[in-house]
Amino acid sequence: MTETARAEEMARLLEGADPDVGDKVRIGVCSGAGCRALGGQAVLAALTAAAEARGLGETVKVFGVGCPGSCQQGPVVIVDPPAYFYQKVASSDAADILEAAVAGKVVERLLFKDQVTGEAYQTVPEVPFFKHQERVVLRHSGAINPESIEDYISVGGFQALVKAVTSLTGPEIIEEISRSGLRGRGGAGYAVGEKWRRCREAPGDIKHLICNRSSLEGLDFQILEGLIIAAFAVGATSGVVYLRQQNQKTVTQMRAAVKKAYEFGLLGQGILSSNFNLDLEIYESDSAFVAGEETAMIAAIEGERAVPRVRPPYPTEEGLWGRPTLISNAETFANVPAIIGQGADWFRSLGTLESPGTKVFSLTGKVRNGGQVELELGTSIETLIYEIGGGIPGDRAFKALHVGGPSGGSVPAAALDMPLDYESIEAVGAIVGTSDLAVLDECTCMVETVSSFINLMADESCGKCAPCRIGTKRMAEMVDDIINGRAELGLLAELEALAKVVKTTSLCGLGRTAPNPILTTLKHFRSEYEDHITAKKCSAATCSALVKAPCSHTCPAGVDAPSYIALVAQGRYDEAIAIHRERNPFPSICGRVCHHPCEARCKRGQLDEPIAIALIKRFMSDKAAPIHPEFPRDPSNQHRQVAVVGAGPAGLACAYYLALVGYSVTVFESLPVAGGMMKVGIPDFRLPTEILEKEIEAIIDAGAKIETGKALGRDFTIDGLFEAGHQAVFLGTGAHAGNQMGLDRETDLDGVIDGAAFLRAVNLGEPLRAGRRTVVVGGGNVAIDAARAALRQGAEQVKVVYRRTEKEMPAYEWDIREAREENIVLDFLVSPVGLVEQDGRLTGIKCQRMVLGARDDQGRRRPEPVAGSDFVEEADMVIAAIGQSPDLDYLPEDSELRGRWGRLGVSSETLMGDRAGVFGGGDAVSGPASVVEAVRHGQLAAAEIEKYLTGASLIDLQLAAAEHRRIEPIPEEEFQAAGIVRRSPPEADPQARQGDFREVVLALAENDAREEAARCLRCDLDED
Amino acid sequence: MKTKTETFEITLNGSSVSARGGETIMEVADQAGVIIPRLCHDPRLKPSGACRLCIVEVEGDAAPVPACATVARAGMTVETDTDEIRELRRALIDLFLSDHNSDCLTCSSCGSCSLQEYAYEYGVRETSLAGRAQHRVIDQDPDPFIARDMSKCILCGRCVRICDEVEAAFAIGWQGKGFDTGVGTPFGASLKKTPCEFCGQCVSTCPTGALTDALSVGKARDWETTKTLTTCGYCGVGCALELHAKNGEIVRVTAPTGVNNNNGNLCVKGRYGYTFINHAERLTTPLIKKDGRFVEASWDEALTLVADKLGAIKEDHGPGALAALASAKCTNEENYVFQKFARVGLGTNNVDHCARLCHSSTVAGLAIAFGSGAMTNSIKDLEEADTILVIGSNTTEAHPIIGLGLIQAVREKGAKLIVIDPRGIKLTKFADIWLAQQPGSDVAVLNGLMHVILEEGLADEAFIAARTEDFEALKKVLPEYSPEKVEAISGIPAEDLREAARLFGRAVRGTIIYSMGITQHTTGVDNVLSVANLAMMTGNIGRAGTGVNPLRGQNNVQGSCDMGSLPDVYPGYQKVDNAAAREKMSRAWGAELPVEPGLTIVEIMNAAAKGDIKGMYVMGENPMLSDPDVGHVEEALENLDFLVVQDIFLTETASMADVVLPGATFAERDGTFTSTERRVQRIAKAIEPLGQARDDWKIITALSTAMGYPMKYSSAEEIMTEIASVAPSYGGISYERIAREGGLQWPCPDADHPGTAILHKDAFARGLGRFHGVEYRPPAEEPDVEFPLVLTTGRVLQQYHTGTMTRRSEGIDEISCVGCAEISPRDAKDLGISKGDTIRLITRRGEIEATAKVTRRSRPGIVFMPFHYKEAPANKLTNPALDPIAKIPEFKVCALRVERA
Repeated sequence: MTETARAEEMARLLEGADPDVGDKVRIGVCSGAGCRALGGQAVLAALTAAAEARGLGETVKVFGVGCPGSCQQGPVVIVDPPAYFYQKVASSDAADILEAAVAGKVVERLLFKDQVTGEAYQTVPEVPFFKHQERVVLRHSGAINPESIEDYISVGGFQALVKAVTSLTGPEIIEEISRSGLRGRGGAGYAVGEKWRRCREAPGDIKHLICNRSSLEGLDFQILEGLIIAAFAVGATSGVVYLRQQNQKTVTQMRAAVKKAYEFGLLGQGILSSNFNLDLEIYESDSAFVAGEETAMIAAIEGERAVPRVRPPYPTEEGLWGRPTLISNAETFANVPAIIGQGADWFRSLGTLESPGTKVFSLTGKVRNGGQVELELGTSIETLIYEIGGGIPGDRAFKALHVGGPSGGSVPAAALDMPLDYESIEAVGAIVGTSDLAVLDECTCMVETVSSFINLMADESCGKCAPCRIGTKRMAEMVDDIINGRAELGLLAELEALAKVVKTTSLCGLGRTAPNPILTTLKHFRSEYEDHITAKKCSAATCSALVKAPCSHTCPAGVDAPSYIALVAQGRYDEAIAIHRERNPFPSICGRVCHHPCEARCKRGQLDEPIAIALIKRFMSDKAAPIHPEFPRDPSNQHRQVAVVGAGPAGLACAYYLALVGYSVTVFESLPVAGGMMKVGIPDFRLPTEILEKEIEAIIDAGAKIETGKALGRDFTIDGLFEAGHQAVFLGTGAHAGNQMGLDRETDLDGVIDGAAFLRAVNLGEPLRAGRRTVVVGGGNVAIDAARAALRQGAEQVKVVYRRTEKEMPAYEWDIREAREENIVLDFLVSPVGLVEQDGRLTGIKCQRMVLGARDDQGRRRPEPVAGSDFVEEADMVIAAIGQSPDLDYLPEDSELRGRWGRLGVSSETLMGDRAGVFGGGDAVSGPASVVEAVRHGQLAAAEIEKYLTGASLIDLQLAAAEHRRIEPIPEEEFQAAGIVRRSPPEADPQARQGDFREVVLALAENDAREEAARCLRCDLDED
Repeated sequence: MKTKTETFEITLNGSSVSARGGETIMEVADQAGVIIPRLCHDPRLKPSGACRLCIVEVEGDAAPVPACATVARAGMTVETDTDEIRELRRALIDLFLSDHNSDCLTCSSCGSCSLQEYAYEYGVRETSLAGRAQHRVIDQDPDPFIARDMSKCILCGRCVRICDEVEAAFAIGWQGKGFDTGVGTPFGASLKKTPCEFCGQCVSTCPTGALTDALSVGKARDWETTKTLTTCGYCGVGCALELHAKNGEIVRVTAPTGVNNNNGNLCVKGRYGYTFINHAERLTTPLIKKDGRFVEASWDEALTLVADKLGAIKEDHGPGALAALASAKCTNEENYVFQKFARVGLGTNNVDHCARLCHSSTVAGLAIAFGSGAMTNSIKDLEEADTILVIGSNTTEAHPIIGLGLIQAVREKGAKLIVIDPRGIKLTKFADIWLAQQPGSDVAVLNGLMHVILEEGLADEAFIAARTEDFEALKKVLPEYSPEKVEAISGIPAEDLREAARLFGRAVRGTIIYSMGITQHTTGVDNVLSVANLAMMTGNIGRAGTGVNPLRGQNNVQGSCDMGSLPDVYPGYQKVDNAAAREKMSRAWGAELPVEPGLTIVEIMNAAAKGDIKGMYVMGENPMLSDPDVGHVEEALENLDFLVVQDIFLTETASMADVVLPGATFAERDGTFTSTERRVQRIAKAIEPLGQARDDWKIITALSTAMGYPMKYSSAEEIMTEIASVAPSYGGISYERIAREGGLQWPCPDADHPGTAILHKDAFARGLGRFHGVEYRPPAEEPDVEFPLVLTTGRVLQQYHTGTMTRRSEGIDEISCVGCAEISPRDAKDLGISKGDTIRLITRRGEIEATAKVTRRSRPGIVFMPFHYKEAPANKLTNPALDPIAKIPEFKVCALRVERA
């Protein structure tokens, strides 16, 4: 009987439906908001016109389809069969698409390609963006015309409704929904079946239903179907679809869909020939953000100010007009047809035990393939970002996933394995309902992000309850103080306390969740807050009040890059050099070897490519003589003697600045030459000796004395230095001891050497020949330098093995590229397990293959060995370049200067150790780091030594004065930098350069350098 | 409404306390004496949960819940004062203070500010968030009563909610959102340009100094004043209020919540119309007119002169040449003493007062139909009705606090409201049906309603059979009043009439409320009888939520009638012409009493004009403004040989007197008023009478003694004891009981009787209710070619009666449209009149000038004019034609011509 009724109703429905499918090739053009914005409608028009012109009406059907979600690839066209996925389609592609479609071929150039591997994917299910999704709610998106009820019926639409109305009772439907475990998709995830049951059982003759239709464009009929089933199940006879007016397209489509549903007898009196009635109205709201809160929404629909009301009573008992009301969001309803159609068991097979099914999220932020995605609940963040999202543009570091928009929470990189489901999202301090997933990378300042969130929440607070109205404002003020450098450290505790008060005491969800971004970031990113407050540092270099310009802000030494760049553009090289040397006396060196973090945050980089700051620096320092900046000098300082131990970048910088303000400084160096790692760690092909010597000369010229071949602990002691009249000592002894691999016979087998020792020998010109087949173990700069040096020392084959993948390699990517150009082989996920010897001679290294396993605290996956994957790499030389440590043998075992991890222990603020007058810096304190970081230590130590000796610092005085420097930009009419592309340096030919140690990277021509400098946007001049 | 019947226990701070179903945690705690702090809560309002200060811990709940909005459940365990809760409250107070202009040194609310109190209690000395942004809104357009300093506003929303939920004025609302949320008027307009009624409910509920009483600024703070609980001296609702006095001056008026029908609410007059009390023009010494000028006199001199003059007239012309006008503004005790003086001292029954001009038709009509002429039910009881019919009552303006209750019943309890009124008064906005009848067509309209009810079988046959008589008389006339015919008479569309008839006919508890729109007609008694017919026909008498409820106008108009300040009855409505009654009173008063009933007011004036009345004593009345055809009144008074006026100001009438005696205001004396619901309530002395002014009863007893009939009472209470001994319905009333029971509703025949909330419960006062067949008669004067419009008169909210008090109260005139006549836009257009024009209103009796107020409240053909203004005395125009029985003049209808002045 009921089966017959169902069949009859479906037949009746289908009678009115003309799905127009047949054997045609369906060419669907996305009609979602994203694609429309990118010109999707023009593509649709072009395809339609082209099909018509070719008379293909019988062969193909061109139509608009609902949003498949891949918004960043828009406009998107799907040709079915076999669901070819074309992206970034232009109107001019219409002819090619049509021809290919008719011929059953594919248009290769429009396919989606992996930006890293370049691999092309043909059909929708193959595209990684879709491959890892599970589509229940969005099952028809991209396949049917969302405005056609016939299309919807043709794919099985309204079958669930017919089943519900003709063969199920309300309680049976509620039971099925309860068993499915479906939870509310719009809020905190209340059990849907339970909510329906409460509404059904609430006393009252008239019941209402409200659908919060704030998402899911193009699913109108599916939402309507779910909604009508729900109304039938709970006994609601009138419903309201709540829409925000801003989205007129959604409003228009929903109106049309409701009208259609009435025409088809799916709404109104006697639905599907039953005695079930449902009238549905559309409510267009111009209300605020808070109207998303259910009680505020009810107030808005009743014509009141959209502010929340106290609960209980809950809407299921007293809702719209005081009557029992079922209120759910569109996605919840959109799940219902599938559950009724395919059954609760099927639904439970998706997702997790507690969170069955799927969830639609909007994936935004620093991700390659953003858009609307539907995930099986429990999908990991890593899958989301790296599989579906295609990773982070520029392969920058993943910093955090922000879940839930302005009232959500952030999880750090360490949580990449976190499953996205109700429980874990709630644990983050967010709710599933907000559906926003924003990927943040290292260029995002967490504090600034939080500031924008809390300011938004403060603006959107309805103002009703005090904690939200005042509290959100106060929190916003506090966070603004932090990003503007006005806060003190105690504010963090106040902020945290206030956030908890607001969370605990606010009336509605808006206030209760507004503090989430603050609370979660204070938990996971507290040091970033602290950096803003104490060091006035924004690691992302985005907080404008703290950041004069991102380049100078990210420079460890704080070099005033925008000023010298501006001067180079004007040809004023001497001034430029002096400004550089004010904070870093090694422009020539750093122009060659610096990893230039200054370029990573360059504003111009957001436009096209960052300014080639390092090249400009190198150019100007090659061009001009090393002119000293003018520091205030105190003649009485010449009677103050300071000893510097170690002539590396830290020591030399320290000596230089002390000399510039008049101190008598002597640098003691254990090696026969000065320069430290700059001399013995970096091969000549990256840093020619004469360049180094020139800049060391300048330091001597400034008044510092250097005594080489004098080793602390061997030739003198710290006590001895003081006794000899030095009033302060700076220890910049570096980190020259190579770490060991922990393999048998590593230390005594001939042919095994550590990377630092190898490079030192090479750089000191010691007679060392590389092995014929040299294997370098490690992935850092030393490994790459050693490999390339080995090549130049006569190796025939050089192979670098690294236990992780290239992505994780610490070496600079340009050095890796150059190494590859020089035919050095890199083998990843390989770890050494033993040395192979024959007759006391090294013949190879035994390795095993690795895989990446669980993550460490930084979110990096730990490599784990693959059992039985051992192999032997033939080698007659093995260079272990797996890091260095300071060699502190010169200190007594119980010295107060010994710090953690075998380093010098000094105060991070003053760099002074527990012994008065003894300072330390550079690699000896920080472990192996860069030249520019060592320089910062050197300068900081010099200023601290001044303060230690005289109570004030002339160096600081000068640096403070320089803060206000302003180099006028070149007038726009004289120079247009807009169209100029970033200059690349000339390089020596890879074949030619392998044989010798001549410099690989060459200098820019003057005109190129000046034009490059003129590309600078001068963001340092921005007014606040 | 939730039923609050079931009782259960909850655990509150470790103790078991009892709660009733539907009660909130806060209500339960309040009853248990556990005080939970609150800023956004007011028992008059629905819970809002906005301030969050009342958060408490409920076992099992993850987060604290607001006690004000959380309903107690059986077995619930609640902690209201844990360390965590206190800490959260401290943080909230800190937040409030951070956005509050803590100007405690000069703030009017210092000492009565809840925020200050909690800051003290929770030890939040100052905000930890000092220096942060504050939202400060300067009130750019102050008004006379409500001082707004929004820098102290904590956005609790009580003012907005009370303006909406209680006052239904919607004058203020929310603006903006987030931190910039504010409270204000639409487009920031002055309150004077909004529907603000200046009731000050917003001020009364404001927990801080954001809203304060402008009249009181700088005068006294809460702890400096002595507070006297008393009863309002304005209309008949009888609101409880508290007079705040400092140094002999009333500096503020408030109302306590939970006391009396008004529950903390007042209208603009009650709350702000008090500065007349200490007004400079108050009479503070007796005045004697010499050579046309008043000169100050001693009490001895004045009383001797009065006694001599009145004694001489009595001597020369007989007691019938004397008349006394009592006052509906004076206390029961004073009215009692006054009529006793008239009857015994002067020896005449010529005693009447302005009740004649408002509800004499009620007294007469209901006496005939029911046997008793007062409001059958109680004020609170009106809200129990499921259907309310309001006819001829502009309740929200004339009886504002009852008006609030009606609107509340409609908005909160879903009662149906039918309004029959020619004007678009405020109540029509809340009405399910508004029938706008032509003034004077009420009998036809009421008959029309009954026609439909009868025709459609909606009459309560059982009630008619069991409780009434003479239904046939009514039945005989009804067939003539088909809706179509009624439409022709009244202008009410027949279908609307039918709808209304069905609505009222189907009511389970239907109540009828009326006022002077029914009574002040030449058909006043007919109108009242028709109302009684309708109530009886539908069985709506004697039960809660039903009844015939005439709303009495003045504060003690009910009491002054009860006290026998009428020419035909002694106290307790004992008939003068009833020999037994006369005998009883004669014995009680120890004197012979005149036999003939006396003259009514208009008859007295006519007699004076003719020279039959030669001496008159007026206590607290101002017939020169209140009576119809005042030109005629003036002639009458001028014609007198001797006129004594006892009042608090030199009124238009007093100016004509030979001797003026200074009386006391309600703030300066003890006594009782009887409100419209027959409730006898206390007034209490808050300050000493100004200057030499005296309690009115003291003046009368002194005069009586001087005239040879000694009266001696030591206090007002002693007078009440005498009243109880002679007036049967007051038999059980005493000051002691009033104090204990908060007022007593008569009939209260003996000390054990609880008073009577609902009259005619099991039987009518006269036994069976009596139907009357009433035929429609047109008003005495109808529009014609010469006078094409209808003039109807009445009150406005802000003014009271002849303005003696309100017009001397600071600020009242500023917010009312002084001397304005309301005219419809269409008539205005036809006559070329614009808003604010001076217009001339002309009737057959005279003409006045007024300011045109063009408003849709007036329908075409009808001009409304309040009678309060001496600048534009509407009663120069009104028709003195009288109802044949009640002798009430037809204030509500006369023919009018309007011209541009």
